[in-house]
Amino acid sequence: MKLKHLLAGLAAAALIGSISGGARAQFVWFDSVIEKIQLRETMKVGVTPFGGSVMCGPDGGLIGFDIDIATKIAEEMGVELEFSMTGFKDLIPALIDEEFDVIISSLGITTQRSLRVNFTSPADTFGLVLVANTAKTQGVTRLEDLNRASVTFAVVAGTTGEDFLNTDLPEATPLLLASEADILPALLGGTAHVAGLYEPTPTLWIEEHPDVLQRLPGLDRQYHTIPGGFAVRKGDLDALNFFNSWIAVNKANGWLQQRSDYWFRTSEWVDQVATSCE
Amino acid sequence: MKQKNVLVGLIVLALIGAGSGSTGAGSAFWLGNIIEDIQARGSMQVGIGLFEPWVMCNTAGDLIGFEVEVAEKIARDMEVKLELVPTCWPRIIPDLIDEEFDVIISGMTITATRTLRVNFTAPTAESGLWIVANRSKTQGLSRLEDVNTPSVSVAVRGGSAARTFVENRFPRARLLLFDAEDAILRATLSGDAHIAAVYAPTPTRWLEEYPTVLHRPFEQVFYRRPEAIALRKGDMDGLNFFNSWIAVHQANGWLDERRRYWFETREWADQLATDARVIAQCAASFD
Repeated sequence: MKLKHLLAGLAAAALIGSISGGARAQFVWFDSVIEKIQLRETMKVGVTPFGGSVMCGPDGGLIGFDIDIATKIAEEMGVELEFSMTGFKDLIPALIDEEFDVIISSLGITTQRSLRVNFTSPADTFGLVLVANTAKTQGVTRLEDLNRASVTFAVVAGTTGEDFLNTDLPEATPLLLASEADILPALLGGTAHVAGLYEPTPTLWIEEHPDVLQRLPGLDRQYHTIPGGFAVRKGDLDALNFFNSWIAVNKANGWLQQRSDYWFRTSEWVDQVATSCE
Repeated sequence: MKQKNVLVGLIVLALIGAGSGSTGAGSAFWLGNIIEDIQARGSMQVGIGLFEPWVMCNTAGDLIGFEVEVAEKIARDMEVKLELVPTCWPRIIPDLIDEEFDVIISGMTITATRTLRVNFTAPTAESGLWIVANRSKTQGLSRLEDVNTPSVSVAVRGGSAARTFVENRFPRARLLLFDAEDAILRATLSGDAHIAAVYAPTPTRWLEEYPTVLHRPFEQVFYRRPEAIALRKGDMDGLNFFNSWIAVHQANGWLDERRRYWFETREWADQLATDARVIAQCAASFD
């Protein structure tokens, strides 16, 4: 049965390739990754470090919103779980190269990303919060005050924070860094005047460094709200349907909202966070 | 090129059918991927019909409107050019299936019948019934229940969803049936009808033209109908792409904000074509 599907898939791929002259040849997935996960008895999940979503916990494990989601799905499927820690910019290429089965949750849905992967329905939404070096941002009260070359604005490269910078603050000087962890010293040292980050990171940083950092008065709201979903490879509609059904169930029963509130609107978990996953 | 995709679909279907020993009726399915086609071509071809304020002709004879803006934004986000393909409304689904264009972005209401022939995305917007009232005839009217009494007459179009709505919601009110929206307007202005239930955006224009006579006593929108983008069946990756685009632009408020501009204001009215020749020429392109 399995072989038959694969054969049909290969035949179809070969036919499409030959008829269209090879220009648009693409592999047709007749076997869903959901079947693979069950056969392998392990779900491989691509994750990237982000405050609240994916963090190092006690005993070298991972904790966070995305980790809770992946753990619950694997439990319900009755399979083991394997996390593949990947740099943010490599997440989508690694998914396409089949290094793991799915990217879970903290990936913001954007048009450009949707051209390369299929997204589930949104599991949560994120908004960008502005954190400022207080001394470097005296007199800033409106967003226009930040739209100047003299303002250095830090975001994690490749994130939707970068999109926000391009569309809303095109005149500001961008400081594109590899991770949130790189932004904090830049902001504390004053190289970066303002940073755009997702909760809970801004709240935690301001709590830790109240003398240096602040939310800007008048600009204390969420910017560039985007939905976040899981990403799967194109063509695999059964996987999309499986994860969409899971999201529908866990939205309806309130579980997703409850976990999102815990990780993004409380700091009860802060003392569990380790600086490295060793 | 067009025949090829259908042909491939049939061959694949035959293969799968043979392999699994099933003898299901072989309907042709489309094995294309519109997102790849659009990117390879460098342009997105969009089927549209002429409906105010979804798609309208401006003074230069170009197309403007809510759906024109949606199509422009999607093309910009995809970094491809946009080609609008004006189409007469009854032919728009057959033309989509015949691959005359890639998608329909034209405020098409989702119905079960249409869903048998095309795939719809998640709703991009909803249109719905507004309640408009003659000010002097409806003094003291503050709650919806106040409408449900024999002393209130409600004007609607016969045979429309509006009639069903009024009959269910206000069974005791006096129902006045009309064939055309203009007749409803005249009855409401004269006071023969105290209240009218009419699909947006028509009431926006009435309220702007007759602010002293008419008003909108209730903010609610009733009997909402979802509108969506339509694609050829079989192209699930294409469907997912447009659904993701919609999810993004719902979350960031863009779709709501633009919908309000086109449906709850008339700020665009002075851009509309007034020259009879321009109007005729523009309308003729939809024949």
